[in-house]
Amino acid sequence: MSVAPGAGADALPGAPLEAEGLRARWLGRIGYSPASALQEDLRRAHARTGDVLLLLEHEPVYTTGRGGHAEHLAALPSDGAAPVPVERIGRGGDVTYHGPGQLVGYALVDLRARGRDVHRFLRQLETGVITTLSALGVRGVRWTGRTGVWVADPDADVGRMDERDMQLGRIRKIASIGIGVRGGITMHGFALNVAMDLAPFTAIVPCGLVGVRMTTVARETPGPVPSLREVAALAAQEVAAALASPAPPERNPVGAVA
Amino acid sequence: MADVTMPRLSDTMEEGKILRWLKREGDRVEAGELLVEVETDKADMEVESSASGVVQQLKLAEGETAPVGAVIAVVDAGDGKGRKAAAAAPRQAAEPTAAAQPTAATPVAAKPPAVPPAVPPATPAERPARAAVSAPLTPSPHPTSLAPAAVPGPRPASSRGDAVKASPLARTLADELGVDLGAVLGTGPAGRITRRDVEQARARLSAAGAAAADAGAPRREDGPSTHGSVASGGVRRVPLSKMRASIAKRMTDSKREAPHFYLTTVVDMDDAVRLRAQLKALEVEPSVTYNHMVLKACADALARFPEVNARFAGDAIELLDEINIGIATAVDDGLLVPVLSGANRLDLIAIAAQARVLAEKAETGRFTSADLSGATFSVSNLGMFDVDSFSAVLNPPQAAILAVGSVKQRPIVRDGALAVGHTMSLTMSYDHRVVDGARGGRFLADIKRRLENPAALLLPGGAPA
Repeated sequence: MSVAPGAGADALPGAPLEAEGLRARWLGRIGYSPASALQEDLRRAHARTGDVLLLLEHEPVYTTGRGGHAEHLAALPSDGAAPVPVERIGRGGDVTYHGPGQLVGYALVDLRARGRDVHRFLRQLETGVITTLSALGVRGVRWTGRTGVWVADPDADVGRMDERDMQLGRIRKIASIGIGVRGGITMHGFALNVAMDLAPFTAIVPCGLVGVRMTTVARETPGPVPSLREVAALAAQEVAAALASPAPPERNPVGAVA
Repeated sequence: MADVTMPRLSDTMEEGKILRWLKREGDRVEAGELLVEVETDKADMEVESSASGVVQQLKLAEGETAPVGAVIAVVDAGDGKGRKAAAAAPRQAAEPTAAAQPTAATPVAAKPPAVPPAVPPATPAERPARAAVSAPLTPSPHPTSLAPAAVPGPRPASSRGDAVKASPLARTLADELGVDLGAVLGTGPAGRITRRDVEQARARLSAAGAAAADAGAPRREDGPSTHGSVASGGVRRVPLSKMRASIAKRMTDSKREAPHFYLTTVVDMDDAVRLRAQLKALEVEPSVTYNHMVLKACADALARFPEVNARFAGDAIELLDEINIGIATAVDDGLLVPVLSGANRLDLIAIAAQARVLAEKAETGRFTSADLSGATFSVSNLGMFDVDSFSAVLNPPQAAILAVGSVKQRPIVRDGALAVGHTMSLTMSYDHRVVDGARGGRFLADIKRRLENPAALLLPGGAPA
């Protein structure tokens, strides 16, 4: 799955989605490895292809960063007959899960042309996810120090919430965000839980300890949830718009629990 | 000698974590060539070297964190050309050079091929030593000064400039001399920084700068050790695995939230020893251990004392229908608590069988999520480590956990005479918000009674009350 030299817009795989300022493609369901290879190809070909946003869902997979420890993998469950495969990926971070019903967005964007500020880029991705959620009737929020998008109880003051609120489920994570930057080009992006089984998430936290409570769009709205492809079309526009506008200069200190 | 500092990858970046070094000590690196991958927030970035030369020292191990501007590597130009960079390091630290910002330079591919290493790369055997040496150099909060790290003893004042305690005179002087108060060790009352502290910090800064400049010449084997903090105890930092972080957090929460109290009793195990021998002689499979008996006794006792099979829920105590016993199990780098679900519905042999399956899963790491969730009570047994008795930390939100010691022959008083018999210590930790002493004592005594009359363990549903 490589991009031919001199390839133009039509050489990108997948179905085009409308988006301002970058080229968005819907890839449907795709394995983790082929998607990684595609990201790497598009990163290398960025000078020709320009900024790209890939939207897709993965086959079930656990991923662990390079620093991931073998003992965490050992603690992974093997529910059912077919154990979920584990991929080691070329970025830092903890074990996580991707699977059907989760909208994954990979942004291959030239950070040098967009202010070179990695945190700002993270905040912009958050904005794109939050406005996407808003269109779906879910109020997503930032939780300072914890990159990603969260949903809190209606009466909650997110600014004063702590891990205890998280354990009690008063604030729940609906989208994970994380990027890598290689040669000035971003990779990875966001994973928004739209309508999916959350059990595989609980399984990767040893002993069910600690824990980020995960949630989905389907859980947070009473009404029907659009198809993943429809959500992808929405997200393409919203994320593109967020990347085109300056992000809030909000601080998101490192070192906090994800 | 030139310092490479933690680059500022965002206006809001305060510190970064070394994910992976792309060069080893002894490798040749060109300015603009990839040197390290840094993680900040949820972003990893490849970072280029701001200097050319031989990598003399990697100051941080992978997984360690340093503030923006901290020296993360030392590059030795070897020909002395790099000399001035080191002296300029403090200023460089405050405002990282453009070259240190990865996005500023041209892509790697455009660079000429690297010159062959002037110094052979470190052999694998050498590397552990490096890790051990460089680890303690972990971030002093304000790395702009080499001085504080070099002085063991008094603790550094708070890293936040506004929170630092210092005399007015010291503040004025620090401003004049360009000394960062956050990096000065206060020797005054309550760690307050005095004028003298500032002067000394300034003197050390100058000395460090001069030493670094002098060392631009050929080799500097003593480089690391002159930075002092290496000597302060040979500390090796091991970043927390997710499991260790979980344990740390859970146990801290437990001790902070749940008022623990502990009750201990000693169980006469002679009859249990005989029962086990009989089951063995009958070749009952799977074989039954003392811990299986303890689990069975607990399951039956919990059925009789529902108020212990409970949890504290803020404005209520929740009594739990299911009796699910967590079995604390040591694994590499931590502890898992697989769960024996519906334990009161299992007979002794079924408990032995299920516990064995869980133990095998712990060894091979193939737990399902159901195996690890829903415990309403826990048992921790350290008897196999020849522990006589101990007290366990509650596993929230459970209201009790039983700590089991070894079964062995000890002096015991029977019918007013000293005898030798098998005994085992049981220590129950309770959450005092849920269980009081008297009730806790009765529950523990019930477990003891079952173990001392082990026929009870063979009856369906345990012995009657």
